[in-house]
Amino acid sequence: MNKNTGIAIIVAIVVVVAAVGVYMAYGNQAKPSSSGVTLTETGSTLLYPVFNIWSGNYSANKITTAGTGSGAGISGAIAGTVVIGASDAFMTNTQVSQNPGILNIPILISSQYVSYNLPGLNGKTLNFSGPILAGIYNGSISNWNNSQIAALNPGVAFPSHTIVPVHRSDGSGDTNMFTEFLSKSDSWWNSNVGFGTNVNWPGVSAALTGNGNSGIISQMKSTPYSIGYIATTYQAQIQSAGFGIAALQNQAGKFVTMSQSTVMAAANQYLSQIPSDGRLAIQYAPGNTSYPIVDLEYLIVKQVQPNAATATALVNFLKWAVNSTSGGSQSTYISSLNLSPLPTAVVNQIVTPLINKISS
Amino acid sequence: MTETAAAAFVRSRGKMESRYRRRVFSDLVVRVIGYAVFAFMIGLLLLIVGDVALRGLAGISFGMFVTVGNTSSGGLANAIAGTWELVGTGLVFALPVGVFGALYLSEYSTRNTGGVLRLFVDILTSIPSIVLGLFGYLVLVIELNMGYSLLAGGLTLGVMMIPYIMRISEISYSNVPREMREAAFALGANSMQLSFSLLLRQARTGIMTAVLLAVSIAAGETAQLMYTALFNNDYTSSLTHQPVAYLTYVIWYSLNQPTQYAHALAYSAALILVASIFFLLLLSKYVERGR
Amino acid sequence: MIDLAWNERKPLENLFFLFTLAMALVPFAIMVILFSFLIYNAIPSMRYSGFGFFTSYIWNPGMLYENPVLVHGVLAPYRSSFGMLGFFLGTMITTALALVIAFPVSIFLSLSLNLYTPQKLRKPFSVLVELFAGIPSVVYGLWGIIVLEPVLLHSIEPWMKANLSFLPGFSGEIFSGAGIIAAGLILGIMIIPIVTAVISESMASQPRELKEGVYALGGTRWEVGKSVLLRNTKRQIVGGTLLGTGRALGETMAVLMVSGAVVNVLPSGIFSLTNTMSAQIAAALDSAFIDATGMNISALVELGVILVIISLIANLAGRAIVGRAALRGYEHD
Repeated sequence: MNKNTGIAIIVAIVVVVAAVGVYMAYGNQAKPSSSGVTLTETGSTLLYPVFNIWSGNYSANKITTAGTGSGAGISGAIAGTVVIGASDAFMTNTQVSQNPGILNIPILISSQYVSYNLPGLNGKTLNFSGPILAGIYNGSISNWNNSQIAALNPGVAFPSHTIVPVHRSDGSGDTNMFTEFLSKSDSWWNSNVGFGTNVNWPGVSAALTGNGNSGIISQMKSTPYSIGYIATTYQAQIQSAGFGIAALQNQAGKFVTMSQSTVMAAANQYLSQIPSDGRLAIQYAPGNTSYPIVDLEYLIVKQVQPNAATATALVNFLKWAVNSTSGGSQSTYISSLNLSPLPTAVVNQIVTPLINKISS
Repeated sequence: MTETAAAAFVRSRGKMESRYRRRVFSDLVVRVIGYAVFAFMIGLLLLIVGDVALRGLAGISFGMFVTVGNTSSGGLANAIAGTWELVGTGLVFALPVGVFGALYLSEYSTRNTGGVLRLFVDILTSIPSIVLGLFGYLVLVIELNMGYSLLAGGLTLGVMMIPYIMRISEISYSNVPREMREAAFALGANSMQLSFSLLLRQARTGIMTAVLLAVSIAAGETAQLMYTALFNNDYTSSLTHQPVAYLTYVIWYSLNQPTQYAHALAYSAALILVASIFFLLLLSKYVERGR
Repeated sequence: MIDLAWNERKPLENLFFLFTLAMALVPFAIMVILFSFLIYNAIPSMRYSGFGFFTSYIWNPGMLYENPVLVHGVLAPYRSSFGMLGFFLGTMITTALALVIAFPVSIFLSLSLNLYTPQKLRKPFSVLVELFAGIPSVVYGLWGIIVLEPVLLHSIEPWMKANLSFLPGFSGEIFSGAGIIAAGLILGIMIIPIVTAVISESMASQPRELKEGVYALGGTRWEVGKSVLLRNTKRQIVGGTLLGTGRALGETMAVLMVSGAVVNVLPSGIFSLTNTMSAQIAAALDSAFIDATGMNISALVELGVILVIISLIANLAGRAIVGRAALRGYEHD
């Protein structure tokens, strides 16, 4: 074969590939993006499935979404690299004072399971409390036959085996929710570890880490006698892996399991107290039926948008997203993900005024 | 006591024979180990590629090539298009730098300046991809306000592609015989004509090899793009302020998604990517052979 | 060589000359910008952590929701502290393990390619080895998680523990397939093509006369290998190994996926989980964005600076030994 023919063929292939790429990128945009404004979103991996559903069902504007992590969501919104930053954690006081023009808009209510892979006992709902979990994660409770665990679960025969606590290796809103629950329920944890999307995990030699919720699940699956925290969005995976799901002790001392009603019972304890800037931690709520690991999900946006079209598009989208009757928070979109909508009263008193602050 | 000549002969022959046997035996041992290691490597390649191929084929469908997706549902069209858009953007930046920079190194530079500039090309090669990604985020995304975008991701990939193109181009130029240059000068060509009508022409197979190699490596990168290109659940049609999808993100991220379909997407993306990269690498070998 | 002086050339030619010069300066310019940006961003962390950065293995992002504190003139999150020791050890241990695997394999691979493979098959076989280098890092990671880790956890590691426990470090509980062994294995597989390419090519370029001389004396193939190929390519073997080391040091995604990515734990044995400098940058970058003082990002950048320095040493030493001509371009991370 002649050398020139070879080169010609290669050039032809490169041209074809490039042309196909260009066609796919530019020629194939049959999807109408009415006002022409694209709302870019990044951040929380917990909210990522929600945004995937929303971007497919919201027709007024095109929404691009990427799951990176709450940190990237917040910093992206502050830096203006994205229009919407999704976060499981609200901004810190320092961040707020440095960036006064950024809004923390509560959008949904999420919750979290504490789950265990304990051979023989996975069918049982075991009871755990914040201080016990703090002890497991700081290494002071290292065996399943520990008397403190037995005291919460009378009549259960625990095996004598090392407990393997599993936590996230990446920065995560799930870690924020879990450590905030531990901080509020256990004073040692509160003063020594604290809470955040990534914390100073006590060095427990048996501890494992997983990347993302799936990482936690796969670690636990391959490691009997392990325990971990998993977003309730992953219920189907927890069930197919055959893990047990714990009942958790709330502030009133009662052991409750996660359900739509226990989550809302917890949220309702706090929703009336949400300050006008929207930032409030709602873990470890009072009330007999409150589930303790409940969290507000946030969308972080700039108050002043670069142009009027983006501002209008953003306001319309946010109002749609928080609407639980005909918008993004209706149950057909979010209940399969174990998320709950904000009550209409909260939307009217807190969220809508926040959204209305957006201008250009 | 003296040995008879015959006995000495027999003894030394016996010694030689046993030494000969030992030599043949050690040759055999090395040969067997060599074959075993070779077979092991081929087996491993088949195992990895076969795993990707089997699981990828099981989940792949034609629809994935033509519909956009978001790592948990839909297809891979946006990731396929985005991968080549990013690599293309990188190439637009890296190709002139590599080709003409190499021309300077091979034709104009003195020993010392050439040495220093080459050193920096080598240093560029040593920067770990995650550090390049961090740099791309700090400088391109934030400082130059490109946002998560095609330009930021493409340029970060381009930085990584430069050394491949520059190094192989330079070797190709210096392989052009001195007599040909002298002939060109004798015919009255100036240095520019020499560069364009002789050197670039003579080096085109080398440059083509370099481009194919650089493209195939760049297409498989992840760490540079995580914080420069981000991800996009649709096609990207703008150079700045619009994130871009790419295949390696789908592999990395879908694995973390709860559904079986997401895992099928991860494997399909891996299959498409590995197949494209192998094709480009083999093509570069084919082009190189024609040289 | 174009050795005309400036005034002997036409203006257009000079313009072209300047253009090629500018292009040749681009890598230099990028490096200058990169290093100044990295070092500038690492300064707050250097001031805050000081020498403790090298001696501590605690990586504590701090309590971000508390008010930040002023230490050594820089703001940092309450209770934060940054030490790279755990990640540094993880990087070194996994890279060492990768070399233990890749070094003998590459030598035998090169020998069998150059001694025992029929001439016709040499090229296709070496291309096959090079295809390994084309497999993306995330695909290695994918294979590591789905295929390798379960095998390690259920078969190989229990066997090692039962039969090799007389070796130091081969003890301790096996919690997971991820960890030092998985990361070292994957890294080893990833660098074999680089090391092999350098060694094999320098073996192939040995003069025929030398090999024929040994054959003429009745030497076996292995004797050719021993007295010609191995003896004359010592430099390239060392250099190729160093280039492989450079690649292993900076590898990110595959290691992030199979190392276990632990923090605040030093490895206690070969079954331990681990973490590397590059994987930590990728894993911790997101939550570092939440830190309004910027100290978490600065600490990760400092980690990156140190990683760059280590990998520069390995790469430049390897290059100096091998010489540029032998390089094929696969050594980039």
